Amino acid sequence: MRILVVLLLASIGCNSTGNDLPKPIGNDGILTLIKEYKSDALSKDEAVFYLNFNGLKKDDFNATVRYSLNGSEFDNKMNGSKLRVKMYPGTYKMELYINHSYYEVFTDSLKIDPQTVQVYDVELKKRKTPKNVGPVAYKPVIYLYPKEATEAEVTLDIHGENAFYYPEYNDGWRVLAQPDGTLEFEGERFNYLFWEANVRDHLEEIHPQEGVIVAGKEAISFLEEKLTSVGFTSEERADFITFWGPKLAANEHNLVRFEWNESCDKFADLTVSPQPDHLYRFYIFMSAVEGNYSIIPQSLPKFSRDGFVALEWGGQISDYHPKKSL
Amino acid sequence: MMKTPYLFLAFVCISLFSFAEEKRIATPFIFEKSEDAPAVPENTGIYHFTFEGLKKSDLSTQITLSCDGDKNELIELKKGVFEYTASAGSHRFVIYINDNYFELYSYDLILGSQEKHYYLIQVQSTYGMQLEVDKPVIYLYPQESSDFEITVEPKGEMAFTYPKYQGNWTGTMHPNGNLDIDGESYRYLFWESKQKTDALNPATTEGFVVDQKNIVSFLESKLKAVGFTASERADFITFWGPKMQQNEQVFVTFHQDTECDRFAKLNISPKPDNLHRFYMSWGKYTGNAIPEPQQLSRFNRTGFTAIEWGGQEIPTITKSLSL
Repeated sequence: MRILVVLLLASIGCNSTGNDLPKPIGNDGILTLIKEYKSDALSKDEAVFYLNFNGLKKDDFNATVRYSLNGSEFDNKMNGSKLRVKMYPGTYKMELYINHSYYEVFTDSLKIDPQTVQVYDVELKKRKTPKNVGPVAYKPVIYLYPKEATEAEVTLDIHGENAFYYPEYNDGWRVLAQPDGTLEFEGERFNYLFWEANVRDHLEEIHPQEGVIVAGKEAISFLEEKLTSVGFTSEERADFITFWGPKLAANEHNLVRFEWNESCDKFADLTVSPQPDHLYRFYIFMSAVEGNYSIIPQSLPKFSRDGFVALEWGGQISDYHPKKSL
Repeated sequence: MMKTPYLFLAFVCISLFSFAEEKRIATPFIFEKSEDAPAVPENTGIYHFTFEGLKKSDLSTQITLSCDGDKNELIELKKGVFEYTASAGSHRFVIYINDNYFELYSYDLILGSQEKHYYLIQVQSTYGMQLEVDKPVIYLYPQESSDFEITVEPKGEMAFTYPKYQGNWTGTMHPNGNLDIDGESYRYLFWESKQKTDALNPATTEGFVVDQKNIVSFLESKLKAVGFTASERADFITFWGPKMQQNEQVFVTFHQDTECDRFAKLNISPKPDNLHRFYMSWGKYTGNAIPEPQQLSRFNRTGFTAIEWGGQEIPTITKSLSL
């Protein structure tokens, strides 16, 4: 069996601003010649590539593949996960593109003789995200609960891009924080401060050994139990669950890992002054996984709610796919 | 037989699939076959396009086409098919049928000399798309603490609720907006459902076209004018702002009060003095229609007030071809 290694390029440069250059990725995709045979059904000036895509999501079965042969483009529907390409015998470089979920595949030169069928396995690599920096760190919100009305300043140093803040952030948020958590900002009352940005894909980076597999239909009870044990109030829990619950519930199974406190500094440094008695951060990281995996459970912290407490929660949706044997 | 691969050996198009059309609704132009066409002059070829998914009444209609950004041409469609003669080389098409379908954009379609290339074009209807009505939240502000019961009858299937909706929500409400349910305190009730909806047409719908950089200030000024409190506004803007800001331009239209019955019926007991519902439909928009500005009515927040907001992201109909 002959094995051809092809280069799998990250064609990320998909927005017109042009500032997000293709990000090189470590893994090379593999195109494997499975078999080659003569076919009398083909004429002397015909030959066939028969490509079987591995790693194709069920939703994409029978999808249209856009491909090019030495630079000329064509569209053709797959039969399940297989694509049949008929052309003149010869030597071809191919590019294969299914949709935005997968990296484009670029082949080396493939040589094919007349009346020949070549069957290839194509390993698809799922695309992480169209964003240049990584997925969004979703909806970190910050609550402050001082013992008495306190003029507080909250500053963030986000290690990412495309930051979104609310209310308006001017080198910091300066608020009058009340013991019940109300934040007075420019004459108006808020419950929390909000930011969002593109940061590096955390699960991809750490390949977690610890976490938990959560079925979509158990999303609410899972989050309620964990957040209660960590020490969220019911209002905070509702903010968290109404944001993350639908995202977890959308997948049959999720890999979930939490990070808290200092380990969240890699996304953004958070400073509150005057310094709270407790500054807590709690992030959820999730990716859709197929089937069940065994993973070492995480033991979660317990947040004390005594004294001046500042709490931030957030998270990130990752395209990380663990190997079967975690 | 395909000669064209030999004609264009020199093309190496690494960025083939990265062109700007990505933000538009991608329509597959599926290559079916090519055959010789000796009847046409040299250095000329024919595209044969067959539309798939047209309504019967649109099978033989006049469509508008622009080839390589040139001026619009009106073309008669016969039984869902038309042919277009062009010089050998590569061409790119924009095709508009009517507002029942999204505008179609091709990538570069290569044509050989004295060849006829057959393409299948899958049209996408602008009607009846299955979408999510996202995050309607309900706030209650009674004059004094009392028990309440709420039922929601969404037009589609209820996808997610919190706290858990079991035929209704019941609990005790307080003047500061806190809702006690099963011993826990909440600021709002949350539901989501999947519903069928039609594409937005900025050319015929009252609303606003908003630039990326103005989205937060736009939402802020509209929500303020309508009478949202700062914390309700923060819930709304932190939910929708980041999603909307991923687009260079969006079209926005709002639905108020009884208009929102099309998403869900909402029953609150005891009956609030004022029940205000406020939904936003929006979608990324690349066209240049100037919609009729929408007049919004202001909430009356006297007495026992209930506020609900929600929204949905919906594709918009863009007509870049001017007719």
